[in-house]
Parts: sequence; C-alpha cells; structure tokens
Amino acid sequence: MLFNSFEFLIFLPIVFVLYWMFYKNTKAQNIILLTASYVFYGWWDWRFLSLILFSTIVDYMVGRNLMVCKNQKQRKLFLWISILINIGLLGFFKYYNFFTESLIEGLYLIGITIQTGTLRIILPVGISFYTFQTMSYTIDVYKKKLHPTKNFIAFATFVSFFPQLVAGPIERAPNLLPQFLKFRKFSYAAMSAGTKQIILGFFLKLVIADRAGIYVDTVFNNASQHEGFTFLFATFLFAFQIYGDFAGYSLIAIGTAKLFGVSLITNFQRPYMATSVGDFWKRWHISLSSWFRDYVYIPLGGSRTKMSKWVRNILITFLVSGLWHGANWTFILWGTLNGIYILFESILFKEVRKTIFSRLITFVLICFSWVLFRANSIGEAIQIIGTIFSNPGTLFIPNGADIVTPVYALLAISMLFLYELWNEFFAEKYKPYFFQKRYAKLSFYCLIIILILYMGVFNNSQFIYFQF
Amino acid sequence: MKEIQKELLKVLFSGFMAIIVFIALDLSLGTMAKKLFFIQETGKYARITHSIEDADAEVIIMGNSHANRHYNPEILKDSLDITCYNCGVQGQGIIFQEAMLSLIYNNYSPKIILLNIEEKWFYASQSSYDRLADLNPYYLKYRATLKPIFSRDSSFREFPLYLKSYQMNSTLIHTLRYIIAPQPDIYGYVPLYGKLKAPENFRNKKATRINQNIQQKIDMNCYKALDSFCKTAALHDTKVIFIISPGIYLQNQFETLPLYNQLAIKHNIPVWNFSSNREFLYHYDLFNDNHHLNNDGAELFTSLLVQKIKEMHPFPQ
Repeated sequence: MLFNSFEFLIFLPIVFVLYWMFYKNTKAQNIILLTASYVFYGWWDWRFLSLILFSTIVDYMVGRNLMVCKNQKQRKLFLWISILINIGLLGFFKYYNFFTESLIEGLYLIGITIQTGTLRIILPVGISFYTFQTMSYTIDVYKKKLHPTKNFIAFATFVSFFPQLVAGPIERAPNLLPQFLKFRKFSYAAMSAGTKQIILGFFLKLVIADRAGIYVDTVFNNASQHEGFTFLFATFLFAFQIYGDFAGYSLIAIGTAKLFGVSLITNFQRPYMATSVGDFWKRWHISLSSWFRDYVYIPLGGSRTKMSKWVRNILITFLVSGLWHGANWTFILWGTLNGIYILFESILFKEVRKTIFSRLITFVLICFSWVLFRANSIGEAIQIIGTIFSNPGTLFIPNGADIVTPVYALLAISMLFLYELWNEFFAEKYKPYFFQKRYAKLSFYCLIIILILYMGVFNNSQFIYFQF
Repeated sequence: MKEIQKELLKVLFSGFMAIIVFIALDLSLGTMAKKLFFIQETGKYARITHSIEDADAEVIIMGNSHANRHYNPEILKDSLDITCYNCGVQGQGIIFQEAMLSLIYNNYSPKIILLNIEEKWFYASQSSYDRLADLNPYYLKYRATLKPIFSRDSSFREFPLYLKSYQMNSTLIHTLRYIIAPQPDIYGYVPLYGKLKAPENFRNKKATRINQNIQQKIDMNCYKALDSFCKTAALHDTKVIFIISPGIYLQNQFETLPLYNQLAIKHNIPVWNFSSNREFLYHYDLFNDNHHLNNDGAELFTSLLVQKIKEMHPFPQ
C-alpha cells in the first residue's frame, strides 16, 4: 500500500481508531499494529509476508538462544546463522541476477563462455530495510548491548511496523522495541506534531519529487537526445526529486508513527545545507549512514587504525552502501565516489569552514554523484558527463502544457529552500510572534495542504526507495 | 481516564478548527483560482472551455497535438465556406475525446468531426486516464456527463474533485502564463514555425522505418471509448472521419489500424491515411520536429484535406 493512495487514506483512520480504542491494553494495541502492518505489506504482494515472518522468527529465536547460551563459540554460531539467513535472502532476491550476469560478462572478457540462466525474481519491497533492522537486533543482542525480548508479538511489530517497514527509517532495536513493550500515551502534542510531519512529507513527495520527476525521467530516459545544459538542469532537479521522495517518505513515516504514540529517529536534517560531503552523510539517510558506521565501518577498524586500513575501511563502507542501494554498477560507483570524496576531504582539509562557498561546492559534488545514481548504466553516465562538459547546447523545454511542470518544481524547491534556510540559521534564534499562535500554525499547515492540492502530482507514483 | 479525555477533546477541537480553516481557504482560494482560470482567452484550457461552452462550428477537429498542430481551420473555412474549430488537445487519448464529444453535445451538434487517430490510442497506458485531469475544472458543472467516464479509472476519482483547489490542480501557472503572454490561436489551431534540419546521414535516415510499438497490450476500454464516440456521433447525425496525419518517416506498421478499420466498417466511417503521403515523407522543411508539422506543413496538409472533403459524396448537410 502506498502512502499517497486512497487505500491508505481509508486504512490509516481505521487503524488509528481501533488502536486507541484499546489504549489501556498494550498487547491488544501491538496485535492491531502487527495485523495492520501485515495488511499494509500484503496489499502489495501477500506472498512475501512469509519472508518477513521467516526473518522475524529466525531473529527472535536467535535472540532468545543468544540470551541463554554462555558458550562464546555457540553464540558466534547463532549470530552467523542469523546473518547468513538474512544476507542470504537479501542476496538471493536482490543480487542473484546481478552477480550472475556480472560473472558471465567478466568471464566472457577473459575468453571463457558459460551458459547460466538468470531467474525471473521479483524484488520484495523493503527487503533491504527490514533485513537491516532485524540484523541490527541480533548483532546488538550478541554484543550484549540489548536484552532480547520474550514478547514475540512486540518483536514482530518491531520488525514489521508499517509506517517504516518498506522504506525506513531503519530503526535500532534499543530505540523502537522498548516502545512496543510499554504503555503508549495518547497526547495532543504527538498527534499535532505527527500530522504536521505527514503534511510536510506529502508536500515533499507530491509537489517537489513527483513534479521534478516528470522532467528528470523525460531527460534521463532519453539520454542520447539531450545536451549539456539539459543534463545539468535535470541533475539539479533530480537532487531534489530524490530528496523530496525519500525525506518525504521518512517524514510521513515518522509522523504516522507519532499518531500511534511511537517515536522514530530523524532521517534527514537539511542535507543540502551541508558544508562538506562528510557533513552531508551526517544529514542524509541518517538511519542508514549510522547503521553502516556502527555495523560495518567501526567493526572494520574505523579511523583509529593505520592510514591504509582507514582508506580501505572508508572505501568498503561506501562501496557496500552503494551496493545496498541497488544491484547495478552505477550504484557501486556512486558509493565509491562518495567514499573518495570523504577521503580527499579528510586528507586535504583538517577543518571545513562553514561558508556559503563550502555549502555550494558540497552541493555540486553531491549533484555530480547523483548523475551516477540516476543514469541507467555506467555507459550512459559517462555519456551524460561527457555531454555536460563537451556540448552545453540549449536547455530542453517541454512542449505545450508540459512546460509548467519544471516551473512548479522550481517554485516548490524555492519554498523548500527558504524553509530549510530558516530552520538552519534562524529558527532557534528568532521565533516570530505570529508562528507562536496556535491558529496561525494551523492555518499555515492548512495552506500547505491547499498548495499540495494545487501543485501536487496525483498519479499514485511509487517512492524511489521502494526499489532498494 | 480524565487525562486522555482531555487530550482527545483537544485533538477533536483542533481537528474541527482545521477543517473549518481548510474549507474556508479552499473555498476562497479555489474560487479566486477558478475566476482566473476562466479569464484566460488563449492556451489549452481556453480552447477546451470554448469547445465545450461556446463552439458552434459546423466542422470540428479532434485529437491530440497532431490534431491541434496539423489542421488549420481558416483554410477549411475559406475553401469550403463552413465554420470550423480545432478542438485538439495535447497529449490526449481516445477516452478524453469521448468525454469531450459528450460535453460538446451538451451545447450543440457539429456536422462533421475530423478525428485525428493515433496508433497508440488503443495501447494500455495509465496516462490515458491520468490526462483526463484536464477536465477536472469542469467536473462539477458537467458531473452527469463526466462521472461515468471518470469512474472507469477508479471509483475514488470523484471524491477529491469536490475540493475547489484540487479541481484547479496544475492550472495556476498555465493560466498566469497565457494571461500574461497570450498564445497565437487561429480558431483553436496553434501553428508551429520551426523547421527540422535534415540529418547529416540523410541517406541512411531515408531508409529509416519507424516500428516502435511492438507487442503492446490493447486496452479494451479505449476500443469501447471509440465505439461509444462513433455511436454518440451517429445519434446526433454527425459525420465522423478518421484521419491519420502525415509522418516524416515511413511507418512500418500502424499496428492498431485493423481495430480502427473494424469500427470504421461498423459505423460507416471513412479512414483517410496520410501517414505515407509522399508530399511529406522526408520533407524536413515541412516539420517542426519529428512528430509535428510546422505551419507550412499544416497548410499543405489542410489543403489536401479540403480536396478530399470536396470529393466526399454526399457532402453532409
């Protein structure tokens, strides 16, 4: 089920009312949330519910065994069982065809021809997200950072909690799981904050991402027909498409969770205001960046090691992060490029000054990497980058009525820019009298809904991160 | 218990206030946007409004951008001594044409419809339904006509259309654009003045045959829409002619032509196919881009049409 669908508009109030009818009974609330989460996921394809259930049972059992087992070797064995099963499922569904095709092509280049067919595999929506979430639970229990739960329903709800099930934020068990074990309070403050986040999320998705996406898709899906300026503009729009899409989803998820008295972590913190690429990764998809930091980068040795090992650690972390995003060499290259940025930045600049210039340079570098992320293949990415530098040409302007689409996108991006600028530099220092008034705030959010209705794209488009 | 009641009351009260403020904003801003919308005199929406509410031309041209850019009503008017209006709307498919025709019949009955048909009109595509949104501003006024057509996509489609802001979705910048800079418009025809450059590998290009829509799925809703279009026209004694516009390259196949032919035979409709007309093939100077004739091309094409219409016996009265 998509957040931007009519089904969800009916689904959410029903679950909300049912859930709070049992506000005294935490167990009943968890059962309602779990059922709702399975309905939410099964709406897309009920067959893949078995995968979530299997992952849940495996990690629940492993967690329980890790608690009672004192033998370190056995504990390690349990940990590896969980990791292999989770990574195995992810690897099969997401990467089987990619690795098989890459192997065939690689062998072909050295003169060996093998006949191996690929499989027609459907990628289960959100598998990368919930797999990482359950794995972090087992790793934390293994490291004795977390006491495993006996409550299966609460654990299953933690794994499949519908607001963040298919596209994050990737929650850590120490933050989310305890919330399903205790009494959740119905509060006006949480409802109000949640609703505001949902409204902002829809603005980001329907107005910014989907508007920008129309132009971006036209250009990137016909790459051979366009010139440099067009690619520059399309890349700029893509930077906001992916931000609007993903940050929009995260905000809707966080806001929806708040309606159920559950608090999720912040996933985006004005990433395009970053002063360096390192700073960008502390603001972009925070839940994934911190996951890789804690479960890949630090276990590899982090930065407290020899220079050569540190370089290796950074590159491996970003390469895996790229691969996590998709089974395509473009993502691997995108991840590696970001790793290289971080290396150069750390080596060349001991301290990055927080100036407009540093923010602008960071934005340009990130946009450059987005070309790799969006291009359909490495060859196409090279062609696009080549065209940008060799053939500026003229800007492609869509015919007739379609011309308004990039105009709406630019208008909405300007609004977002002002909003983020305010929050980055002024929000803490100045609190205008007008915005302290309850009805002023209420009118402001009503106005945003009106803007969504005027400017949004209402064609039930998928969220980009569903494919990851 | 008391605490939750207090919180619940606060939520309900705020929700109620939000609804009031939202309705007030929707009504006031929506009404303003609608007023502005109907001020525009040129542009796509002005042409749709004219077609639905004011048109009284004996001949109307219907279809997508090919219809709008290829048929000059002034030539038809002067040569045939009839009134003519171009109702072509960019990007639209057959479902939209069916809806438009029903709306036009609410106002009057034209004598002839020149329907510029497209190969892709029968292919399954969500955009055929999504683009019906061009009629959102008219939905409440013509609900009885439009509801059965809109609900083919989804039964939920109607609900948001009760909001004035949603009815005006995506129209505001378009409206402002055409109020500030009116578009040249000759009885609905919007000419293009660019000239396509002959490609460097002109000889190779000459061999190019377009064959893009292989193995596309047919949407039977679209077939039924054209069937309904023809039936409605017959009921109102309107003569329909299916026309395929000239192309710059040879079409390998017009895969859906047999389906058009079926309906043409069923409803006794002539099909005039100009797609391989030699006066246009590889004549880059007559095209604005790979898909659209420029004004020179449109004038030549309309003149050819005039000859064909003159040859028609009996000429519809």
